[in-house]
Amino acid sequence: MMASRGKKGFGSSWWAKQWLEALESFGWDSRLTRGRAYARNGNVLDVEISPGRVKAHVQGSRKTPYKVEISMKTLSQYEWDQVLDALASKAIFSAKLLAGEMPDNIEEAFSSLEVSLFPRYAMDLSAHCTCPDGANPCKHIAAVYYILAQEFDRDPFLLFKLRGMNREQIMEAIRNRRTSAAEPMTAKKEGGLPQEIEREGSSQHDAVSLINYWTGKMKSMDIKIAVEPPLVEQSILKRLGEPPFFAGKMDMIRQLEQDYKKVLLRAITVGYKD
Amino acid sequence: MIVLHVAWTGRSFFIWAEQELGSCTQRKRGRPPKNPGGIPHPFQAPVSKIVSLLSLLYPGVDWGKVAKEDKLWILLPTGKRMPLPSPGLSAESENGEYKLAGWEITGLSVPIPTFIEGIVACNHDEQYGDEGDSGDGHLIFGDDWNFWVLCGRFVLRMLCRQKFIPSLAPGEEGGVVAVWQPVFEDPEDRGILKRLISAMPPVCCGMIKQPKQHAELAMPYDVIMDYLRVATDELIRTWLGDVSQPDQNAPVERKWLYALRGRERRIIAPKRQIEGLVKGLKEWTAVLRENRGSFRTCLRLEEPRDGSENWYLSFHLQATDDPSLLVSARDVWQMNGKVVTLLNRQFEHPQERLLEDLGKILKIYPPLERGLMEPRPEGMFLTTDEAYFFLKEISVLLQDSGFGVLVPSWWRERKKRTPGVRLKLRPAQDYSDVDSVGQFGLDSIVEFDWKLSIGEETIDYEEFKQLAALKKPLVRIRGQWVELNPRDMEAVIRWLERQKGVKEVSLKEALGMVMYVEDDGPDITGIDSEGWLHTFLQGLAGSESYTILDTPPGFCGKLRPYQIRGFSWLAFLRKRGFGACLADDMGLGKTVQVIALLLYERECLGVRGPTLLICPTSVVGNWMREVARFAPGLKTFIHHGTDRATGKEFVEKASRHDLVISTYNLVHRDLDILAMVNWKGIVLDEAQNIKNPSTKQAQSVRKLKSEYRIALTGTPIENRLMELWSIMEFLNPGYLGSRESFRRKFVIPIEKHGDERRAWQLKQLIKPFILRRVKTDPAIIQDLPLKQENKVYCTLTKEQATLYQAVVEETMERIAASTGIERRGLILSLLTKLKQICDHPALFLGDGSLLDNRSGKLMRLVEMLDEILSEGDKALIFTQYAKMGKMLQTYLQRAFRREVLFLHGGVRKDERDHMIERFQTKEGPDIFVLSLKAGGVGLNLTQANHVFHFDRWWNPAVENQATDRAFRIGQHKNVQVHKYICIGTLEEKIDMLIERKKDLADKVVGTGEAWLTELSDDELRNLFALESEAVRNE
Repeated sequence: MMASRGKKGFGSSWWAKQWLEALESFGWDSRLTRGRAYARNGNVLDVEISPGRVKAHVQGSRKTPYKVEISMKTLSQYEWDQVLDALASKAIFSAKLLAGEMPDNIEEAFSSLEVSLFPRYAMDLSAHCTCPDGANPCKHIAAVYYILAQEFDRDPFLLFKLRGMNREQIMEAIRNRRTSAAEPMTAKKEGGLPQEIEREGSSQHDAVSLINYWTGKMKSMDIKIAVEPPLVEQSILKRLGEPPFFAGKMDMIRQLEQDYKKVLLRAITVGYKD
Repeated sequence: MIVLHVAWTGRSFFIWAEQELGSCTQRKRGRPPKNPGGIPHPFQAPVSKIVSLLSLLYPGVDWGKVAKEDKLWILLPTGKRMPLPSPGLSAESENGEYKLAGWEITGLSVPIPTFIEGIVACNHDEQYGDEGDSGDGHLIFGDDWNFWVLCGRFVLRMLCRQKFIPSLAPGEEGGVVAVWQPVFEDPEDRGILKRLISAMPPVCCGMIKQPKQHAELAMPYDVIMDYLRVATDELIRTWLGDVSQPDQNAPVERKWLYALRGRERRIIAPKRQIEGLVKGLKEWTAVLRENRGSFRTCLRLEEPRDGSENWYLSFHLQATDDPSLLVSARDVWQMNGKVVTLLNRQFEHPQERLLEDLGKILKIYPPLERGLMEPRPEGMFLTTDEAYFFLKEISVLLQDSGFGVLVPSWWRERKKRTPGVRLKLRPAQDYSDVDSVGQFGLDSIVEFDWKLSIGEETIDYEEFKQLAALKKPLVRIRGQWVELNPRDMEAVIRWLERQKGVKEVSLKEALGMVMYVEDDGPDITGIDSEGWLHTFLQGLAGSESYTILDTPPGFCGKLRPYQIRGFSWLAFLRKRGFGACLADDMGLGKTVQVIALLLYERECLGVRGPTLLICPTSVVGNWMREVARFAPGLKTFIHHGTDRATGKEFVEKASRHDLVISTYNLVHRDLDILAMVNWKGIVLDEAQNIKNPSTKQAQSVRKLKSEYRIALTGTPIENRLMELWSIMEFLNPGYLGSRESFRRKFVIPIEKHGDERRAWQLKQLIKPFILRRVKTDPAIIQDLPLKQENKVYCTLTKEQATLYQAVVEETMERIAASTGIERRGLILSLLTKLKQICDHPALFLGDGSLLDNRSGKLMRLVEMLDEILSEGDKALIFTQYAKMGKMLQTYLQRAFRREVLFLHGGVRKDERDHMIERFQTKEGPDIFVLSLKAGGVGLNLTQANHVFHFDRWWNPAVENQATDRAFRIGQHKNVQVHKYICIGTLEEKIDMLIERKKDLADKVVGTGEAWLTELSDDELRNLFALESEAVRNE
């Protein structure tokens, strides 16, 4: 089930907004609105994005979900070259994309080109739904448009994928532009677990441990633990940023900040108690 | 004796205690517990006792009210009948195997906040044993207690540094609950966690929930993590307190925020909302869970090279396991392909990794964007202000986020370069020759001045003001970058302007200025001095600062080079009337250095009059013997005993001698007459005896008048600050300020807050007056023999002397009246009895009576072991008598609250091997008592660096064989051998006989003690007669 997040729902990032604005500019506003509630209530059951094509199932009023299929024009090789050149021109584009964000200044890079990632004309898109409603977009298609905004929000590469190139291909193409000659190598599988303190590294109790049963290695380890204030206050909060589900609720963010401060003060008082 | 324990139950703490088996009211003997947990622990302390003990130790908590009586089951190593007692309790040794079995324990359940705020927060550094008298002898904190207190500090550290996040967890009764979770992302915290895991006493994992459970210890990791999670959540929500409940229709995130505080953890909301919250939280905290693999992105800040303000921030990949391995961005952009091997480390997509990280760093540090505007960026320039912000804030955030950051090394040291003042001292009078003319002392007048400084650098007033006016946080001063806080600088300037006026004070006052700068005053970053003052303040650090003297002509023997340096140093300070503390390690010969000084001042400085030496009763005899041996020319008498001189008689007697030896006990009692003498000097041996400044002894010694004072101690006093104060107060009264101000200024900041600046200041202050050499110092080792033999002369207690005399008189009559085999038998049995009396009256009487204060040897042994153990050394103690060995084991175990091993003839081979193995591990026991027969051969006990012979065998071969257990050729550490001898008894006389006649020694080697039986009545009478000096008489 594709539940939408947040109250306002769709398009908290600029590119998702841009996507919706592009659709609205086709004069679809009122029809799109009908899909919004569907999307918000999780009626879009799944979405599959492949180059030039989106497939989705949407739960309508009937028992069987409707099938929605949307086609979008992919970019030509020439157009892609232009896009990729633009992307490779500044490291910040790749940096932001890889960090999960659509670079906000990517537009100006594209504006000099005759290429856009977003649909310009209604005919760039064609959609089909198995529902009996003749309107296009029907509310099922509209719901998928909304969910797409959310998906682009989550992973900016999906927009590229829809236009014909997936993440791997794009990164490789940019890398090739960065480095003069590329030699293809076989990729290795991603691996590695989160860095936890290895549990197995913790001492096993064996027969020998009965000797020091009461003492362990307390005598020889001499562990010193300093209770000291942080170098930068609320470092974790600063790094994590606002919780996504707190969007717009300033009082709750402030509350959390105050809690952190309160704990720090109390811990210092206790830790420094004479 | 009571041992306090605490266990973690998963929800709260559980405090319980063991006590001596004999002191249990209910002497229920445990049967071998077949079903774990069925049987109450046989020697646990009653709950009422624990409550009164806790109330005594931690009066801030109403223990009767807060803690609830409870029961739980704990796994303990169990022999045939009994659980293994913790070290320090006299064990009823059960031979054979120990297996884990469950015991029922009754104790107190204590909530986490109470334990942390009531106990952990008050962690006294001192030992309580002396004060915390539970009415039942001593109190020991079990290592499990110490462990959980440490863990409590760890939680406080995590909370204080805000290393926690709000989160969700499945509730115990289904649903979800809001929790606060600790975040272990800082390598330092991970390090502490690792060390805690490996230090953890296994008993901490021995909690079992049900009595019939299969007996198995939990994993340390699980126990600690469980505790850290629960305690973090519990403390934070308790501290935040309850808030008013949101209404039912409030959004789920508001309910979550509410459930993070106070008692109620549960979140009641529609399933879908909760799922949304779970997903949102996961996304929000994703950064904290990321794996960065073998390489990570690293930013390096380089300071401007050319005097410009252009800082450069360069981009790199850095090996996570070797931060020095850097790959510059320039090289990364050259790397073709997806997988790259660098120095045997393979990793994927280096370019994308670097770019992705830079993208993430952008979110923390937006100005980075500027540096990413080209296709292959390698770095970017920063202004000084930007660099400061990066250093101060961003570098920490990046490191916390798992990125590498390299900054100029001075940044870490910047606290040493803060604005402050330096004290400039100049002698008001200049002496051309430091050593011979200058009779300066603490009362000498010196000129002083304050100089503004930044770190070590002195800055003149105008320049300092200009710097302050710049109002720049980062400034380059004489080529070095310094972090400046303009407000601090202005405060320093204001303070300095108030200081005008006095320019000349006594040296003592001048040095005291460091003490008396107000708490909010500027930091004193150093003391600059000129002339002899400089020489003096350098202390021993500048070896040129005092003249190296010749060994005084009257000294019989040879001083080692470091001993000559030490005695020259004592003479140097003595001439100026400064008190000196000689704190060399045990065995380096503090005694001979003082004897050399006493001779020197009388032979070379023309000093006439007595010096007073105060020492513990146990070493009076040793001093006597050492003075007689090295300086027979010194006229010495011992002031002790019931027939000691009083009043005028004493004053006259003292004036006719060079050295008067007395004891700490008498200082207070005889203060009146001791104070009547104008002493040339006062020497305190084992000066730790006045470590508590409020005792009568400490107060009394301070009242005595003398020209100079010396303190001797073998314990490192720099780390025991109140002891340091007390000794310095004796040596140079008033120098470290009042006790209260010293506590405020140094003890609390240094011991509680680890204030390095204060520690450094204190070190500067005391440096001129303390000389401490350690035996591991390479410069000292080369002067020391690998095996160093000392005779330790002890005195008899009155009880010992009375017994000794009675036995001699009674037996000598019978010996005189007998012949042949009977005579021999009597002689040998007399010999044995006397040797036993010298060891301990209880050994001779065999009555199992108490051991305290009845044997000179035992008292001395405890003192010496105290010093040895505080150095982390290990010791072997040999005795001929198995009973003595058992008594020593029990007594030392109590005295030092730690396990003492005892090997005697009755120990089975496998047990013996086990003991040896344990002693040889660093963790194992530190004291090993061996009966000479059992421990003579075939043992390898090289962990020991001290060997005691509590009594003598008179057979060097046997003794050496024993000694060689600890000493092996090629061993790198020195071994000290201490042979105990009672003065004025047969022990000393036989020792002298052997020393005097080597041929006799050879005879002895061959025949043991049999030759004694050949002596005549008169010879025997002489040998056995007790000389008057033998007795300590108080």
